[in-house]
Amino acid sequence: MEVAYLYTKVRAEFGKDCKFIDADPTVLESIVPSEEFEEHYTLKNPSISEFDTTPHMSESECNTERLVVKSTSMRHMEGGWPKDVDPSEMSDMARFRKKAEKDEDYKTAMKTLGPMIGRCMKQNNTINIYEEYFDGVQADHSSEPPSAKGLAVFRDPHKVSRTATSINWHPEGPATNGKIAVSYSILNFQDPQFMGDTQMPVSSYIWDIMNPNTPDIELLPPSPLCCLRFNAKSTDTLVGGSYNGLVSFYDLRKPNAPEKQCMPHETSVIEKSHHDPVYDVFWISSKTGNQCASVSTDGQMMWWDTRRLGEPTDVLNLATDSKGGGMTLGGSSMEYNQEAGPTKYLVGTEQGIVLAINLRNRKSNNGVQVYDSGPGKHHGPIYSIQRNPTHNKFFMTVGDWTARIWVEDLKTPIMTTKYHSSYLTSGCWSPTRAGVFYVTRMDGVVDIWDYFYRQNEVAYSHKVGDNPLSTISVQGTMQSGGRLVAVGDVKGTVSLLEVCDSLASQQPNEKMAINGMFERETKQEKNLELRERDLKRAKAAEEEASKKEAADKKDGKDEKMEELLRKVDADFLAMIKEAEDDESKASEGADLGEEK
Amino acid sequence: MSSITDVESTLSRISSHKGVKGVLICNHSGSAIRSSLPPDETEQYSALISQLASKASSVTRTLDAEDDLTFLRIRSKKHEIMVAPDKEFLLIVVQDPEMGGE
Repeated sequence: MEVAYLYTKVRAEFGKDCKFIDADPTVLESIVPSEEFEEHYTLKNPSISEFDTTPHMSESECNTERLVVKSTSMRHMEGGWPKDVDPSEMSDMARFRKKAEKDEDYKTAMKTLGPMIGRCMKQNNTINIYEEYFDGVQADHSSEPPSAKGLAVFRDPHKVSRTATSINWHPEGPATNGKIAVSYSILNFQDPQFMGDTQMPVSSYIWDIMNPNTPDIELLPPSPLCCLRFNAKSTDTLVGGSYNGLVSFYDLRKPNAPEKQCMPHETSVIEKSHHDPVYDVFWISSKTGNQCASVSTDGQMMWWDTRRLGEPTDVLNLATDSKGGGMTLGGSSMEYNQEAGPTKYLVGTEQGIVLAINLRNRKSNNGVQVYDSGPGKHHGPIYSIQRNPTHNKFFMTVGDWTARIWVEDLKTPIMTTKYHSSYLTSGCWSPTRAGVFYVTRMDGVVDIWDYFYRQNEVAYSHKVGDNPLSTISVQGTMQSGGRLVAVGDVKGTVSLLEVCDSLASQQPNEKMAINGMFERETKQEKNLELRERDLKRAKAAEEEASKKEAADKKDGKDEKMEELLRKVDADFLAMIKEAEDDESKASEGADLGEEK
Repeated sequence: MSSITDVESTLSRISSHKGVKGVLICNHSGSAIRSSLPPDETEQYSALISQLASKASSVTRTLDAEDDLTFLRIRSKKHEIMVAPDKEFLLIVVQDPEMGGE
């Protein structure tokens, strides 16, 4: 039995108040009593029934269980020897071989197989059938519209949501299938989640990009890591900087560690470490390859030897004036590039000011050179600072809503991007293309700028997710790579993107053009500075001249006044003298009279 | 009926070609019978190539039941590995074609 009643209403009537009116009853359904029903009649006691005129609705969701796949492999090393042959016993093997060589099949097989192989080898020696015909031809991808696609997503295995604070690619790149070291920590000050006894989860991970389900190796530092870097020379070692200021050193080859876990091999002591989170750490060039430098918002830079992390080998205060009187700036990012100079460092600070540090000039202001602290600085912390991989003299800073490009020997930025619609959180250059750089935004978008193509607009925007992004790293060196981009967000998710050829492979003339552009902008900025200096000088000269004139005028007035005063004085004296003379004459006269 | 000297002469003929880095004979289960390569490489080659060859032959046979693998060439950046399979044995030659071709 189905009772249905069709109710129609014109669109115009929608939303009007209901008006109820009396109406005659209408029969919708009538069920006639029958004996059949009576037979089924049973008394139910107690009986509960409900009536409701509203339709019943419910919402339910379901999801298939996540299928976790794992790839395994095994390696066959010794060959499939028969049961009675022990592969470690040379004599057994020799006996087996002798027997096999006597085998009639073996002889015939060799006889037939020999010519086959011979033919192929002759072929190989005669012509190179695999010759590369179009070697050295550079494909022009510039007409291709830029694009990027997501390849994989690496989720933080911890339930607590943490920020992926840094990503570092394995220096050997695709040879090792591609690995990334990701550091995770919670940067919120006194996060309410951990106000009680609960400890912050400390582990950071190394992921194999082919296996996004489980991390390759888990690193267990004493405090969550804020930065983590592979050593380019010995790729099994890493250095990390912790939230509480410690610097720790890892060696993945450590033999007796539990599988897939790595405890720090050496850790600095808290009294002689940074007092704030270590925002960046770099391996620096040295004979032993054990030296590294770290920077923190406590305003210190420290140098370490990873074999003895007991105390730093050197400490430098990031003060604008080494004699005191200036400010101490907190370092929030650092850049070290051996090609630009093994003693040179760039530090981006929390205050938005860039510092260049050259240990060779320690005599002048401790080696710290301060860049513009006026209009050229960022309005907030500098989250990323990096030298251009092809032109080391130029570097980029990312902070507030802009990315700025600077040249080493000028205090002001030479180029500035337009203000992005969202706050920027990180950025880096493309390792292969001189004019391409990436910036990550607070609204989950990666913006790719291509200065070779245009300077006023973003070349391509890729939305990664809704969460604010926190860090970015591009795989590759100047020679190869540049296609794989890893982006981390504040929920600890790292997304692997692949960008198209036009964004990854070097374009013809690009190096020259970008260098030309940077040089031009440098020249302009230099001229502007010169002009400003000239103007200032002219203004100062003018001011001095007017001051002098005013002073001259003032002097002239004084003289006049003095003259006047002198005159008045003389007049007064003359007057008195006259009066005295008169008086004396008068008295003389009187005396004379008395005498008479 | 062929003698052991026939085998030897075949092998020496193969080795005399230009760019040959090694000649290896192994059975299908991967145990090397003869080799001109150092022992560790011999082990690796025989174990890995025999598995690949059996996989390749199973592929060809799956595609067409009457077909069979007769030859396998693996070209890499550094050299070419040529594999001639037989009922029981595999003849493997590693050649550097660059050296031979020029």
